[in-house]
Amino acid sequence: MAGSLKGKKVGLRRDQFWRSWDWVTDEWADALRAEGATPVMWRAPVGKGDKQAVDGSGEFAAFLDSIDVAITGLCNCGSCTLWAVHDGLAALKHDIPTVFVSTEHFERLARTLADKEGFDDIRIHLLPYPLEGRLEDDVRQVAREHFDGLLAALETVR
Amino acid sequence: MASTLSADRFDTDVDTLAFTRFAMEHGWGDGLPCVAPTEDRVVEFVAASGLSGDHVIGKLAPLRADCTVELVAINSVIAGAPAEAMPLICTVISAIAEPAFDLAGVNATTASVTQAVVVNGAIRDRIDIPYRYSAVGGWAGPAPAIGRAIRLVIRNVAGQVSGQTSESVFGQPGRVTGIVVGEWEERSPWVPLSERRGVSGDAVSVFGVLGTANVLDSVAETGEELLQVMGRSLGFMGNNNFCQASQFADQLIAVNPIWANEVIARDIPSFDDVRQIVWEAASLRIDEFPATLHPGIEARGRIKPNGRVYLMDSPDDLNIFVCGGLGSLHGCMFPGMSNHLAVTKAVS
Repeated sequence: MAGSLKGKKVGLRRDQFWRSWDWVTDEWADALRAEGATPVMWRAPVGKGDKQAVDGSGEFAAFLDSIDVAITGLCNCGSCTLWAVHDGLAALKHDIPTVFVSTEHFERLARTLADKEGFDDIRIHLLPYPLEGRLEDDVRQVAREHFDGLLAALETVR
Repeated sequence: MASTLSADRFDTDVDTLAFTRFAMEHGWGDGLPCVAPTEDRVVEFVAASGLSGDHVIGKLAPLRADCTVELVAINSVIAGAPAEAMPLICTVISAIAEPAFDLAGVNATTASVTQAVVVNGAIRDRIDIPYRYSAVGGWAGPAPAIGRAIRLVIRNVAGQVSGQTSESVFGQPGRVTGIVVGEWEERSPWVPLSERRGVSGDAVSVFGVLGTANVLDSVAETGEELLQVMGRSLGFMGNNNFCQASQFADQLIAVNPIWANEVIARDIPSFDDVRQIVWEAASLRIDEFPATLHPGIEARGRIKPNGRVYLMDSPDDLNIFVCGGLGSLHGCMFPGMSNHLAVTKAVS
């Protein structure tokens, strides 16, 4: 597995919701660099009444254009799952191999929403639930422990 | 009867109890009795809308399904709504399909959000939308069935199903019958809510609300005190828009006619001043929040130079309307869904 991402640009989709997801993606970004990949962070904005407009914004399009592989998350509540899946499906529609990251409880919702859009076999990497509410050091440890699993998931979608 | 309806047809018993069982078996029901949407009834409801049955009102999340007038008519019949409410119901569906309403988030969220519809204009009396006693719930009339029709569209067309596409942890009663209330414009000292939001005449303003809560002040002597009590009640720490990830949200409060006219407007003639007082009162000092919430609130630039965090971006996000009985003493607040905006549309 080591080196299989070398030279790849890996997009990490964040949003405004979860500190834990920021910590996880921080850890994964470091680990991806160690693999020779280049992490590219993108945080989905929240704007008054323009969420759908954001989808078509140059910023999101530029993010998709800049990456070879996408990691989208975090599916960890109702609305955040919907948008994480939505943005991940947008990446898939751009033929970008994509791994969806969900906490265990919200996997069902993520799969249901993807299935309703015609994607019945999305690749989901699961993190323990609940994740939010743990101490930062614990969350970062979880992230490090899950990195090999993430790599495996990335391998299967490429 | 020649029909232009396109929905699937089923041969089944149209007796209410039998059809309710049938509807529940097919996943169309909500647990309350269901009226069978027979062809003649649906044709009547489509006609009452003034639109063609295949007219697409909007695309509804999470299924991103095209919602046609025919689908609204079917669900309105099932709900027991009056046919003459079809223009209003179709307008509400059009409103919630607007991007500002963020129906996707509203429908999938773990929160208990539901639609609250405030009706303005002469249509209130034409279809008996309550705005006097027990206006928000309890008045015998068509409002619960109209609200239920909206909720059934969300269930059966948008695809909001608890435990599947909806993660709502608790839900709320308004997720069954909705909340449909009129403004008592004739007893309000202020311009009607919809007009302040840019639409005059018959109109609906649709809010995503976490529920309703009563606000009591039985001894206030001044308008300032009443507005402080309303604002400080609305600005409770668990309001969704104090969440660390929240940026903005429309909030809604109802003021009874006695408070509005004989206390508040007496003391504070300017509506802008009224709104400003409530807006300022609906705030907390940052040090009142648990430390875990500080980083998110700070990252979103919500801590003002005076060290306070305001529930709403600006007084413009505060929506006040007048309704309720003449017994006074109480206000009503409808805490708003985070990162969500209300939508107002004319009913035509």
